[in-house]
Amino acid sequence: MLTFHRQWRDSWRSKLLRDEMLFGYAALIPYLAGFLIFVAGPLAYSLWLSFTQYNILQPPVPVGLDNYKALIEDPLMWKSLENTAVYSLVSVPLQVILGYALALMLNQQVKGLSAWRTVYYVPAVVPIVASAYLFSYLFNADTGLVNLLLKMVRISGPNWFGSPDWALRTFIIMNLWVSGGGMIVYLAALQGVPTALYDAAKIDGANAWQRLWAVTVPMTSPALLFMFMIGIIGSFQVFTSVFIITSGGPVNATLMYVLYLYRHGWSYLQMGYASALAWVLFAIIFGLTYLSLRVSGRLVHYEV
Amino acid sequence: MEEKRTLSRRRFLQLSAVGAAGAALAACAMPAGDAATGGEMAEAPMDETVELRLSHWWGELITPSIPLIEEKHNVSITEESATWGEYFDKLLTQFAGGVAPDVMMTSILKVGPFYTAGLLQPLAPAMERNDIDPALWALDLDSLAFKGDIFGLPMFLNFPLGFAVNLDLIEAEGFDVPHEWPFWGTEAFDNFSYEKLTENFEACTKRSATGEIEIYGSAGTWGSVNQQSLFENGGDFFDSYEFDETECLLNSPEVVEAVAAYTDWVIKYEVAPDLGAAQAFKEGVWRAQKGVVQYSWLCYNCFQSPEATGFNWRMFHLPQLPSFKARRNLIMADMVTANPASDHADLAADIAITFTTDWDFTQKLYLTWLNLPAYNSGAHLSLVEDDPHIVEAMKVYLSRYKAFSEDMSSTEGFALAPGTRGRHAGFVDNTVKTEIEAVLVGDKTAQQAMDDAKALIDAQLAKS
Repeated sequence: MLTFHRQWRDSWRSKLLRDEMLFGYAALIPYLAGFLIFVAGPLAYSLWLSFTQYNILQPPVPVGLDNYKALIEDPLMWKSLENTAVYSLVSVPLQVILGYALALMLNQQVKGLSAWRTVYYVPAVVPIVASAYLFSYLFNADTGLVNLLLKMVRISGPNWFGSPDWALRTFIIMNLWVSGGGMIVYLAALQGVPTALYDAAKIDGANAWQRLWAVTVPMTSPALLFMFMIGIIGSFQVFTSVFIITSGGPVNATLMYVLYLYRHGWSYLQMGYASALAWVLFAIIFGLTYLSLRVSGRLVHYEV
Repeated sequence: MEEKRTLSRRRFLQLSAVGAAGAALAACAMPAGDAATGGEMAEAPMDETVELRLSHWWGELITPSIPLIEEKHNVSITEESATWGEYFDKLLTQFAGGVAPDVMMTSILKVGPFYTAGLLQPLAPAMERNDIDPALWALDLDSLAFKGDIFGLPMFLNFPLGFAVNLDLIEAEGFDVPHEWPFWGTEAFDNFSYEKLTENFEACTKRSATGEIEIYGSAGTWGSVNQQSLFENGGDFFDSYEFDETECLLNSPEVVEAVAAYTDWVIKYEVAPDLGAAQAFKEGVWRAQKGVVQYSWLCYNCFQSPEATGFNWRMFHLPQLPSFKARRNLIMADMVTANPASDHADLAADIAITFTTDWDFTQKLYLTWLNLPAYNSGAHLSLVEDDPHIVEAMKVYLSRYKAFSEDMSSTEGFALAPGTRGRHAGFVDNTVKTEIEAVLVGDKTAQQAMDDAKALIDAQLAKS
């Protein structure tokens, strides 16, 4: 009798578990369907397209590895990759450092703290199109506010977006405008640092600088790593501001990788080649992210 | 036993994937009577209102005239309007997805891939069916044909590129120009030389005590080659304009001279803004009254009325370069085309005809935006007689067409020039733009830039 009861109970439990599991899976179906239709499907299709010649209007023609071979020999692909790499590797660390510095300042008990936090965060929610136009006016060589201010201190400002030597640098400077976007994440991390650690450091005689390097930075390093990786991924896909302000010019000085990809896809109607460019970008970002995670093992402190 | 019947996670995910893929395929599959097969379907009975889709980038300009078409053809038209910037991306996607509109506006600039892929309907049968008089077309329709067939009908008569001068600014600044502007009615009308225009630009360029430019003689930024000058100088883009071109001809002396003429205004004479400078003003240097002369299509609405600009202006033709050969207007037609795969292909073609030739429709459009329809153009002219500013603009616009010109000297040797940039139009545009930028920043001479453009474009042509 006891055995029967146990069997019945186990059977009932397993039925309950099975129903619960099925319900869980059923609840997942909308997401899975969406993922398959709108993400995985197009991803797989674009991978296939990267091995074809496809002008959108006619059926794709398989060409094997031709697109990838052509890509290696394409000087503009390398130019766009160089521009993008310089942009990412300079602007992202600068953005992280500036955002972190802002967060450190705004983590203090200063008057009007909420207002300051809002002010620094606002650029992150301004539409890129609006900020692109704003900066194209600010950095105008003839009438821009930046050059007018420089003129007041007797400095002749450059032709920011109009000069091949300055255009990429100007985009890097412009990108610092959104440094406050990461501030929220840093602030959250900073406020999670146990005060006991600071107290202990003070007792040990650490000054503010030493406390920053020995306590604050290690304890918030996961947030720093996260923002760095997100920044790299985002900056390798920079498009809108460049498309609006310079369209890749002058003389390809701001030709970014995704802009070049877009041109091949929609302007040149070489969707196969554009797909190959996209997969190479995926590999680059994947590689950089993997590398960041590997290196971070030694640099980032995770609390156990 | 009970456990054995439980769906494993792996099995469930497999089934979900299969189910979702099936759903995706079903969703992507074309419905019965879709764009790819619809052409074979029977036309709707005459007493039923057919629903058709019409796509264009003219926004609200067209909307008020749509009821005329609906009434005439007993159809209900759904407009699909997009801005020029995104229109062709959308159209390409629609074709790729088998859901292209029934009637479409296209441009000679972008139409190459659609021609070569056979996605447009030959319109000759519909023209015949609708008793269209070939003699009433004010331009040579053959110049819009592809391999002998007309696939798109032009909406307006081609206007030339030229300049508009801000007269109020000249007066306010007291600029003393050495040569009379070649306005309508002057001796130099359509014969003004490049040298004289450059001297006028110099006279209208205002510099501060430290040498900085405060007002430019020419407001234009010469970011792309001035195609009309190129053709007027005897140059060419390609060896063929039938979308089968094999060679780019942009490094000829005639083209190089045309390119150098325009880039020299920036780098040699310093009378036009350099790269980036024009971005300082929301609607451009000219509208901001920081430049005296603007370059654009000589269509009234391209410059906008003096009421809209806030200052008085008059327009004139491009100057003649030293190697000038003949007057040319580029074929820059916005065309109306029909989808051969439409469920109502014949009706779609008929609507394309109405769109471009129907008197009620075209006069309404003409009165809205003041560019003459290409069909029955003369009949429209009398509709606008009360505004002397508009009338003069119309005279300049039409001065090169024998049928309408009041200055016959301007019609000598006139012909239309190809507006297409071939089957790789996007690539050609970007390549030429980049090479001209190299000239403008002093990296290359015009000859070097055009040699490089030719090499790059030839390589692209060889690939296809």
